[in-house]
Amino acid sequence: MSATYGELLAAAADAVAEAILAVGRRRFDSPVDAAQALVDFHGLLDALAGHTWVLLTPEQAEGVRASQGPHRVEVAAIAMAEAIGTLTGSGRPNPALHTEPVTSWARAARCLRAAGDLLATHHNPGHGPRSPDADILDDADVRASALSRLGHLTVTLLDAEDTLALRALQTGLHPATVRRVLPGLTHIADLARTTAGIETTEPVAPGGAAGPASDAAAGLARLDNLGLVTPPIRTDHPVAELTDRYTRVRLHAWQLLETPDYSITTLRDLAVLGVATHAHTAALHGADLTRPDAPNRLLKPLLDRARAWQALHHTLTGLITAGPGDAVIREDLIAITRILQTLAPITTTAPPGGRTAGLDRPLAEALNGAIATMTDIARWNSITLDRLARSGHVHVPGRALTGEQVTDRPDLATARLTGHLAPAPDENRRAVTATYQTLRTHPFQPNPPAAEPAAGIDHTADARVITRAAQSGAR
Amino acid sequence: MVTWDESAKVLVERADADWEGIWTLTYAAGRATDDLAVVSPMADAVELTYAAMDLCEAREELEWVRPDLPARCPAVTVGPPDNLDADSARDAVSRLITAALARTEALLGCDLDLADLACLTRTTTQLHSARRIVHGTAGTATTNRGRA
Repeated sequence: MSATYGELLAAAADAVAEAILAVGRRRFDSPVDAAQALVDFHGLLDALAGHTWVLLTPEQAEGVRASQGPHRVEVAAIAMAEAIGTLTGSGRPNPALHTEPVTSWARAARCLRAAGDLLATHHNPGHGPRSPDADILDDADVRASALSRLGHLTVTLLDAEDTLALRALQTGLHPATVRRVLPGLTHIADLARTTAGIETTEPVAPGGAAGPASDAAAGLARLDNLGLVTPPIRTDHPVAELTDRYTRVRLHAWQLLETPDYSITTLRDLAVLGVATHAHTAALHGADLTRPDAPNRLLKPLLDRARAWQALHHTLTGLITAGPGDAVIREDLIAITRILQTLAPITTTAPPGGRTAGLDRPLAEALNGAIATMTDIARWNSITLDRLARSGHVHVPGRALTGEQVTDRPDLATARLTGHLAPAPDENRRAVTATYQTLRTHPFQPNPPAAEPAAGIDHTADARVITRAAQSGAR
Repeated sequence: MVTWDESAKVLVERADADWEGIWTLTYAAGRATDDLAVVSPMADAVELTYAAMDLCEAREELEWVRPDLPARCPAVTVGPPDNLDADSARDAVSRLITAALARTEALLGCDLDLADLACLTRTTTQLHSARRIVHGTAGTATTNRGRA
């Protein structure tokens, strides 16, 4: 069972609410229970501070401190985390971690720490990206939203301070002990309120907030859906398996950017996956794929993209590289196509009114996600292939060259005559790049995503690569 | 204009019963399957793309033990996919695959080392799988390609 970041935060919030409810409704059974609650309360505060440093790395914090126009939420979050750190001390591990979590405070702390660990799996020890989603917190608005949510949780938690102190005193704990642990945390609560943006009174710039706000909301949703980098493949339900396998394919396709396998086979397999994904999704939504004409206007973009992936496969088939394909991608491709043939067969005739009424919603969601995944993959594969070609790893059989291609190229003419391998002509590479370009945007998203930074990808480098490709194509 | 069927017949007649012959037939079959997929309705195109993938894999299996094959063998196709009759085109592709399979079986009777044996076994599996798609279950989207 693997959880997402959002699920872990929701579980932490639930546990805090449960703990506050319990401490408000009844006394502790014994001083030991009260002492445990105090320890765990501190442990939760420590976890909140620790999670702040997960969302905001020390380097980013330094940047905020040095900035002349820092984000207000980030400044407050840093102050809040530092104030909590002063209270809970720097001893590690925190005393609350010495025992198994029993109280709801401790359960909340465990969920928060797990959420931090989950995010950490997306980076390597040098904070480099390990997944395409590692950049999610690089967006200042998303980071501020996540910190704000943490501020809300801290405010809620600190609201219970007085009640907890009262219950602890009722059990007979020494007042000095209680005062030491709960000395009055109003200053932290104030910082938490600022972090949460509760007392925000600043007017919103007219016409300027809708875009960034919706982008931040989309980014926060992406953050909440984040799971482990390499989750196990769930095979108990076909839709869950489908989702997990697409996630793994996405990760491996992204990894090709950093660690290329020098194989056109992998790119070809991904093109096959693109054909299958779009064709089966169209079939799920009621397209009759047995006729050459498009079933309806709404599904045409899907079929156009299926054809584009097919054209890509056709072009890639003519290219030769030395490296073997990615075995994991091949395994996932085979498993995915089998599942799709079962769940969304492409020759089942749809009812006249379409298939929407009986649409399998979870499957439709999974396939819509798969189309977004294939869009990402097209973007990355374009760069992968370009790098492969530029490093001289892509060849074509000499006899496959046309007369036009060998004109003014003695090396290609020789290869054509002898039948030997020749470097892939620019024309072939341009054809592939052009097709990838058409697949880089989502079929139902008219404009490219607004400045969405792809994880681990240097967009400047990306732009340079594409520009170079265009320039060399023009030569 | 020469039809795919005629080109396939010539290729089958002239391809030798050795590694080079198998590679040439597999290459031609793969390109033809891909070409056919481009002009077929999407239901068939998806299946044919799977078959083309199998044929590519079969070819790469051969190249894994004989890396010089792409540089030595004639990479020929059966022609452009213009005015194709789908059924006869499938027959032509099937003919090429069958010929490649026959040569593979003949080669299995020769003195081979373990790597060659393993390669030919995997190649045979992929060729059978592709032939089943191209000829057996065309357009029914019920492919069970036998690749575990």
